[in-house]
Amino acid sequence: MKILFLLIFLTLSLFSDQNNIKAKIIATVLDNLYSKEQKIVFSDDKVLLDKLSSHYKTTNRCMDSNFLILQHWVELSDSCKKKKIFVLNYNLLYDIPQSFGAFFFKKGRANVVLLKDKLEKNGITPSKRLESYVEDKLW
Amino acid sequence: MKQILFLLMLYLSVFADELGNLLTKFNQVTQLHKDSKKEAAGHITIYTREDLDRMQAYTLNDVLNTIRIFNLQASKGGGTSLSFATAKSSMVTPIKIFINNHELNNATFGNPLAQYGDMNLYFIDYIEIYQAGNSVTFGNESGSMLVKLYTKKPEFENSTYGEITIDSEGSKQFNILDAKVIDRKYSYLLNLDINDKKMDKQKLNGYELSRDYSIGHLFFQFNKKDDYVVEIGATYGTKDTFAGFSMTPLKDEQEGQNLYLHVDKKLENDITLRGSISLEEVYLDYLDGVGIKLSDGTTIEKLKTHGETTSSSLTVEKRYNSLNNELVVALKAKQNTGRLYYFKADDKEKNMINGPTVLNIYSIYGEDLYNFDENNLLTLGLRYNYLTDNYSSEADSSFLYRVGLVLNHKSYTSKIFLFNRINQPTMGQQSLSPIKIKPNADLKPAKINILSADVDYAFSEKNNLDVGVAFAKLEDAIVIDSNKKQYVNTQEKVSFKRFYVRYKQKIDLHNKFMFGFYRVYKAKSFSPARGALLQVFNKIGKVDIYNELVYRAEYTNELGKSMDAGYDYSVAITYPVSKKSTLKLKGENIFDKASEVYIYDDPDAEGIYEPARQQRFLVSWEYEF
Repeated sequence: MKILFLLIFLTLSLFSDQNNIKAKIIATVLDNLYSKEQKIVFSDDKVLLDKLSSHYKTTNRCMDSNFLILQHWVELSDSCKKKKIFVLNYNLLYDIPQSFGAFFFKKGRANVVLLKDKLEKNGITPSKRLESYVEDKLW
Repeated sequence: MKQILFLLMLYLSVFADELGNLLTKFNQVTQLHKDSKKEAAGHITIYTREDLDRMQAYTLNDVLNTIRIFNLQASKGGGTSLSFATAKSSMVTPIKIFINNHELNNATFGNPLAQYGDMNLYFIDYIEIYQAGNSVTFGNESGSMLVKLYTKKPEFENSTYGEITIDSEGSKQFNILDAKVIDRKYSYLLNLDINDKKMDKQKLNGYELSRDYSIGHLFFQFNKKDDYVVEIGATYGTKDTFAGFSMTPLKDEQEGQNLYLHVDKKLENDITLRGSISLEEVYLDYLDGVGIKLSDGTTIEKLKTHGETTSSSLTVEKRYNSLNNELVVALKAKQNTGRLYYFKADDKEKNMINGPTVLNIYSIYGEDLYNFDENNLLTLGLRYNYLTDNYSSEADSSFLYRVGLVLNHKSYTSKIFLFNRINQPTMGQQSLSPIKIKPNADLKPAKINILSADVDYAFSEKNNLDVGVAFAKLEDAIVIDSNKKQYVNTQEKVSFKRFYVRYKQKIDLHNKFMFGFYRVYKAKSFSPARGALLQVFNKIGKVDIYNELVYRAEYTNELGKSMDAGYDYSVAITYPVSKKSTLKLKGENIFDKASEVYIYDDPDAEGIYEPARQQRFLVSWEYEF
């Protein structure tokens, strides 16, 4: 019982600030995306990666992952380009055209968008809870 | 262990934190005001982006109407002015309005609300209002209140959107905003608004007094990350003069334009260079039915004039940061220039300038924040101003100080400030006041010494109580001598006390309310000394509902006229029709019971009663392209 309370406390305090809320948003998105293989996550946002490591398998090397979460534009190696890419910046959706979704600011508000055709191309099926975030194209 | 944590998170996300709520929470913790607000700079009230959106604050006046200890009121010229609670309505209290790091000038009359009160807030992200305790780093001359408007950041906008608004009086308003990041290094913000405002007209003895105006405003900002910012603002419009010249107008065509250019450049070694140039220009063509009295004693029927004020400034600011100290030192030079191109009274040219038309202010200032431990700090600010003009042979100088203590505890923050303030006479009061009231070139600046304190106690994360008090002594106040019909320095010293209480309750992520009350104690009172504000923010489903009640107490004005208490009740309803479009409905001063001022020309003749914000119902549609 004590452990359960400790877990609840730890989980709640984990999500008490900006980075924690951001990690929880990404975790909620990833939890609701179904793909064939087990998710191995890489991110160039080390704070985020650290927070996600508590319930996802993570890696520090892009090529060892199958889900990339990118906050900055980088010249990706050919093998990394083929991974499933989720970005943390509005402009990256244009800079990395194969990315299937993004968490970004638009009109002063935080948004999540998942692009229908890119999800299909990547073999990802979103759960019903993400339906309202799936768009035909970026607005 | 990992699996338990994962299941627990999944449980929490299903039952407690759906993605939409998380995004709202993220918006709230990342609001931009958290980066700029300076707790040590004064007693601060913040209107966040979310607040402004939910309030449907179209103009700065919609925000200033809710400010404690000040009364927003209709001015004789048809715009608005802010007066300190208890002050005569004709005595405009100097406030300062900033856009980002630069002041918006009104060098002639010292009332920036005359130009910017009706400015649209579409490009503004959030507003900070500092009352008393203003840091010496905010500009050359001091103001009773400082309004800092922060523009939207392109990296948070990434979009083009616009809004069309119509109202029950037949007004039309159009806004469009475009903000983008280019090539990761550069960004821009472009905002255009056009406002054709119609108001209920007053009729007096067969003459019509109108506050209508048509105004267009452009704001453009270009930014290179960590290097420079350039801002350009331009306003052009026509405005009816209401009762500004007389209560018997036959023709009142007033045309004006403002332009400003602001540049910020970051140099090496924490040095910032700031430059600013602004221009205010007014053309007037006025015909009176009875005759207007000029300050030289003559009475005329026709008046044509073209005046201009320019203001330019340059600031070099250097920051020193060490383990315990944050020190800012700066040099600033500012020049205000006033010019009357022509002043034609009944078609005859007249020279109506009698006083300085060029004012130079050179300042050196510094402010140190000494953190004596991680929660508590002491602040000391000093400013020396050296003033010269083209009229007096002797230069003038002023010295400003501010000492403050800010104590942060787990459950409360307390602040205490001791400081002085100098209110420099405006160019209008000294040289360029052609109508009725004679200017006075020998006016001295008004001097005020203030002790203010504030305690903000948090009962929990969801509710807090803020209590503030202040004591002030004022000497050499600038008033109108009704016998001489001239601006003079009053001989008597005036003192006043004031207090306020503000309680905020957050119910959940989307619902909250705030109640505030204030009172000013002064021997003679000519405007509401008490006021209150209730703001309730609710969300039902997708619909945002905002309720606001602004109360101002009854009062007796300088003529002995009893004025009723005011209850300005407004409601704003916001409904997101889709991801791209939003429908907004708003009622302002719904019961038409807002506090009024009595506007008159001659104390023995009839005047009119007018609120700052008239009763109005608005419908607005916003679309993101």
